Amino acid sequence: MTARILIIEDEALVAMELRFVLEDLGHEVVATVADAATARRIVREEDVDLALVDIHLSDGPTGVALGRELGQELGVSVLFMTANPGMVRDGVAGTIGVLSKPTDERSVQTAVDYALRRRMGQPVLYAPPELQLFG
Amino acid sequence: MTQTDPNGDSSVERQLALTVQALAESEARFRAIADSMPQMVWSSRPDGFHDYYNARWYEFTGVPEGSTDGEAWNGMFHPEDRERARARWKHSLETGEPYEIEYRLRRHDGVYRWTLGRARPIRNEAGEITRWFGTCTDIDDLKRSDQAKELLSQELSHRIKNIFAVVSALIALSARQHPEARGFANAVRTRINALARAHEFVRPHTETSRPTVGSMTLHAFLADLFKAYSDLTGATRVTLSGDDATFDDQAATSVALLFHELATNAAKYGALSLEGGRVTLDTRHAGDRFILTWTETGGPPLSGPPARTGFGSSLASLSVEGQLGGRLERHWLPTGLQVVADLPATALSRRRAAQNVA
Repeated sequence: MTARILIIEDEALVAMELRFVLEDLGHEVVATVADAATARRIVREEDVDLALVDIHLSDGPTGVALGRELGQELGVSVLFMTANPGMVRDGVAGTIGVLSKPTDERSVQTAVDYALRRRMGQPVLYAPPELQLFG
Repeated sequence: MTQTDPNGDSSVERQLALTVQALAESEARFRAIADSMPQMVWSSRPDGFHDYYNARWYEFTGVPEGSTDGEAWNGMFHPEDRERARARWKHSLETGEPYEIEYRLRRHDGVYRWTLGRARPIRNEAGEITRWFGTCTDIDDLKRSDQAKELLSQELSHRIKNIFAVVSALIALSARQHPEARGFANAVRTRINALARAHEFVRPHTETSRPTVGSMTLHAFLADLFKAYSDLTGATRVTLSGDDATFDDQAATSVALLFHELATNAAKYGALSLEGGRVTLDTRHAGDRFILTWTETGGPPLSGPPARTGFGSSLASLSVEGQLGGRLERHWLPTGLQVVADLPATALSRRRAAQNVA
């Protein structure tokens, strides 16, 4: 299944590589944004199925609140991608889980597949081991 | 009948007078010393009633003399620190244990300054406490500099982690321009990712930045590293056993590369290349050595050592023998490869070992 994905990451090179990985998997990357305000604007203007959210963005550690809002209020499936998974150790309401950076293509692929299955209400037996689930 | 001297005093009365005079002089000497010290000094009765403060205390707090006698000292503390200080002081009074606590003390201009409060009891010959003497030392500059260092450390840590992620992305992006180099790029990236993970486990952490809830130890790092090789149900295929250990930044690269190479090789050619294959990794102390034993089973049958050693094997040997100062042996058993790394016990935490000796 393919999806419309929003990349929220302030390191341009990391965001670019992630875009290529997702496009290779057949998904459409709606945009890559570096701060929370722009992310909110994009989600209001476009259809977004899934957001990959870093915790530290160009406007500070705004990723956690942003992810919660996208998940709980704006109908987006949210996966955090961060080098600091400890910061979301207790989980974030409305979001699926966290992947630790640096990631590899396989982890990204399996995590995105898992998130999309859950979004479609399809049965999922096991989450990929690199994805730390919330709740 | 008591003797009298030419003045008409008895020797007992004279002794008494001399003793009182000696006490007065001793008291004066004490006050002179206490008032000349740069620290605030105070004293209390055994029940905790504060009945003396030196000149520094009154200069610092700006309060009228005598106004903080009794328990009124507590009101000079920051509201958030009062309960903690009261409890700590009560504990010392009850147990006789030395009192030590950091709190914020209100200066005469209303500014709260971090202060180190300490006190010790004085006992009589029967061992009973007769008085407490304490000091308050302004540590505000030190505390703020510590907090600044902590912030800087977090900032640096974040940047280091980011750099690993950026380097990895850069290699991947560059490889897209050179499709023939894709295999090379992948090999380099997985090694860098292993390094990044290892350094994540050794860099200085605060409570919030720690990647795991539990310990930052060898087994915790390895469990994280081997997650990528789990079976289809998500269960691990590498079982850890034996003694855990901590490792420092000097050993992090070697630890990461050694186990990355072992796992990658097993996934390509050994036990982890078949779904049913498994690995056991036992790590234990043996005298002044630390032995790590990696044993593969359930992989393709082996008929002896391979014809050539790959670069990965060289990396593993270099890490163990060069960097960690140990020995690495490979045994090509019919049931699967077994690798034994025999390290000096201090190899994983050389920095701490060096500090202990110094």
